[in-house]
Amino acid sequence: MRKLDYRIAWILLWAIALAGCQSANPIKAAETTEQRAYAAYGTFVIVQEKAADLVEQQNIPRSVRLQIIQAEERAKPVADSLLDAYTEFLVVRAEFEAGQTSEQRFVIASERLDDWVTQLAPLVNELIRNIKGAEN
Amino acid sequence: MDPISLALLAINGLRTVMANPALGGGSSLRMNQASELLGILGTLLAQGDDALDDLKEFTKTIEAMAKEGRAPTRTEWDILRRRSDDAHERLQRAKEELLAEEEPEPEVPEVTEEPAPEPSPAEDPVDPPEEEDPPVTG
Repeated sequence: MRKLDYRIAWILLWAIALAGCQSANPIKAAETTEQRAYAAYGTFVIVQEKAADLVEQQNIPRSVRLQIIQAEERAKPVADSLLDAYTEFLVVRAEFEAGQTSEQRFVIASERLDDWVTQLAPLVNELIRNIKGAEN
Repeated sequence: MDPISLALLAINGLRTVMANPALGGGSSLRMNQASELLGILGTLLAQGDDALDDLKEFTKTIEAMAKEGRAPTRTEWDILRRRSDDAHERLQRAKEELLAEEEPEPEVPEVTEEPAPEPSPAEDPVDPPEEEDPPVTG
């Protein structure tokens, strides 16, 4: 129940924050754990591609490009862990649906996936800050 | 005030409240993380460039997914993973180039002139034979 409360509050916050730009919020648009994980990972990939575009630009100072690269290097392992957690989630869910594992294990796998989504967020944020710094 | 500025204002306000227990926010990990998530969005909005356009397109994909009540397929995950790997490779390549620029050039050994090749006999300048004084006779 507490988890549900948290999710409602979280979605409400995003809804308020995005009052002026409803069309650019993949995570808010997601409704399930799987969709949210996919939305978070996709957001990371979009930002990562933007980072790659920027570091190939010769007019951006070398130090800024290196900072962007380092920020991506910090985020990438977490994004990869999110993928691993998703794979594990699928396995556990299949086992749960087949009655081969407990509900508790399924809940833990689901929470673990959510945790990787939230762990990825500040790292993507850092990457965006570096990208923004390069563009200014 | 345009919608984006309004959204930025709302985001910054929310972040302040969420990060400050005195204002009714929390100091839990989740609250901090939610605050960071808002930060991502604020930065993207402020950025206002093609990354945001891509994000809008991606949002439509997720919206459609939610509407259909389906989970992302393995193919969709694989496409994202490939894109991520490609972008990571590009970043690593750029890193290698940047670091290579930094590396000091290897010390160049003192330039020593190569010994001139032995002139071939054919090229030997032939000194004209000195004329010997004729022997003094008698």
